Amino acid sequence: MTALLNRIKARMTIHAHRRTRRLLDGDYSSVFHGQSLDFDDLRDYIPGDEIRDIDWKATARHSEPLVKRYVAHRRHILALVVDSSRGFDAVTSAGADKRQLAILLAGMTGYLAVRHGDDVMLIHGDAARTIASPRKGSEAHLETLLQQILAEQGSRVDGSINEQLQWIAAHINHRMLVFVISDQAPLGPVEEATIRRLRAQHEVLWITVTDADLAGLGSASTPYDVSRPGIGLPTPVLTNPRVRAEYQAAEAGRRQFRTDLLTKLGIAHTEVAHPDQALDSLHTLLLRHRRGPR
Amino acid sequence: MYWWLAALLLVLAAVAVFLLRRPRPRESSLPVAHSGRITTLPSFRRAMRTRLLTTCAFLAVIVITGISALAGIARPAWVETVNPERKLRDVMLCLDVSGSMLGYDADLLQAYQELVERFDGERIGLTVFNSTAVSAFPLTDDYDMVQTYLKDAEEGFRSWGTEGTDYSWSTAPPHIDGSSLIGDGLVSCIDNFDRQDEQRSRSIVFATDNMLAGEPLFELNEATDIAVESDIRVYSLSPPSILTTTQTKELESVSDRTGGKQFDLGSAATIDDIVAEIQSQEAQRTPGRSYTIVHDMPAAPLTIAVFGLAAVFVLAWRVRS
Repeated sequence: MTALLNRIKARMTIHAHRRTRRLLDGDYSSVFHGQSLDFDDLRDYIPGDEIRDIDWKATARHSEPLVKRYVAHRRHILALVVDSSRGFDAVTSAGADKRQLAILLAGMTGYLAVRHGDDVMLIHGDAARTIASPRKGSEAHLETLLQQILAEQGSRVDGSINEQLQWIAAHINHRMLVFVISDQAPLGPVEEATIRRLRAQHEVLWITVTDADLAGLGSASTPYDVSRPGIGLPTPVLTNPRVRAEYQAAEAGRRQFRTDLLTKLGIAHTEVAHPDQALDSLHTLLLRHRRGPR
Repeated sequence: MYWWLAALLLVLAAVAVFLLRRPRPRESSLPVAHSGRITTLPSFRRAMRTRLLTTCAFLAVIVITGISALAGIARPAWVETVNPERKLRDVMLCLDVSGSMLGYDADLLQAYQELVERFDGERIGLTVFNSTAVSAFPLTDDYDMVQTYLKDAEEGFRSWGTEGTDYSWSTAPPHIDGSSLIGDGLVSCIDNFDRQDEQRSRSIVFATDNMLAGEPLFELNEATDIAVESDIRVYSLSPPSILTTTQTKELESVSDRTGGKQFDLGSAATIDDIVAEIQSQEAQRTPGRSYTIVHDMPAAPLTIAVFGLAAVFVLAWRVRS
């Protein structure tokens, strides 16, 4: 029952060499800097670690750079927030499967957390319901979580990431690292309020799985909306130059709004369209989070 | 011969339906999410409306083209029966309105009206005479007008000149002596035939009692000579008299010499028979050969079909591009 996670691990090794993976480890561990000053122990420096975490005195006595580890750094909780509705049974702008990409992203992040010794929990669902898992720090647990996302395939309910975020706001008191995997569903004032509230309590990272470019689909693709499976979208109308122009303007506007909103709330944000970009995007995201405004 | 057109249209309609139908997702279809991003755009709605209208126009044009093509294939035609002989017949109604005839004239005019109803193509004129002749109306095929005049004349005689048209006054001017100048009346009627240069069948329905009173310019014999010369048949109608008088005999001889016939005027019912007799007599003289002409009218539907076909191609090109 470790099929999903094994594949993800393989991808992390195949698509990035060991150095990069260690880099990601460093990225991940520096996500939590400055939260507690209870010094715990020292560990080897991993590229990506904050320079200011290096214990220079200890390093001077040692051949390798050493990094201070704080108590707060351990046994953190990574909350994977995934929209597992039927909106994720569609394709991304690069033509990849959205659900598989979401599983990959969740798996990669979860794996980093497990390796770091943190607990992982999954909050997923759709507009109608939200399912939360217990918090555990094992790979088997992570695999179960990924399987849960996969099991939602063929769902008949539309997604609303706001529901899951609301659930966290209502049910979870302690500080977590909230890792949101959403799609291009437009964000509005309601979502803004929820995210603002969440941001005050948790570390929030946001990955947007980009949706298909509706005006750029080929005429042979006969696209259909997953929320209306029986009815196809007329490609001649979709690719009409005027419709395309207006659509692109509207899309750019929504994208700008989302980026501005998340930046304003101090949330690191990135977009992913293809599994091949996942590792790089994750790296970028963690880097942005570390460097982001505090 | 245009069957291929109908078949082609059928194929075109099928192609149009195939092209314009709502796309149905297949196995290879691309699932996308949040299509509201594009479907809520005003330009998308406009484009969809345009598409709907184009589709409707396309189908309408195809239907119109198909119907007109089928109509063209069905070869619409209207059948016309033409009797050219009838158009060459002239009938002059010649009516004696002298005092002795006044009692019969109304009935005669009523009979004339019935006669006119049966005519088709013949030209009819009415000349009334007493001491002088008056052309009530010249030879014409305007039957509506003829009926109006006959009705007015009948009314005039029925009401003794208080209503309708009174001919008894105008046909008896004071400066001419005598009345019922039969010979003069007949010559006047003969004179009223026009188109002398054309070869036409001419006949006179000569209604008189032949009660001469006065000095006519033409004797009846002389008038008959003129009629024979002009190749005009005279059908005489005389009111019933108790005994077969010389006047009646004279009339009979007039009819015989011109090739017509003499009838006794009994009642309105016998007038019908007389009319039939006259018509059959005339029919014998001018055998009517009817032509049935079938007018083929494929121009209108086929023109529509041709333009429709062009429109179908233009629309198909519009839809494809």
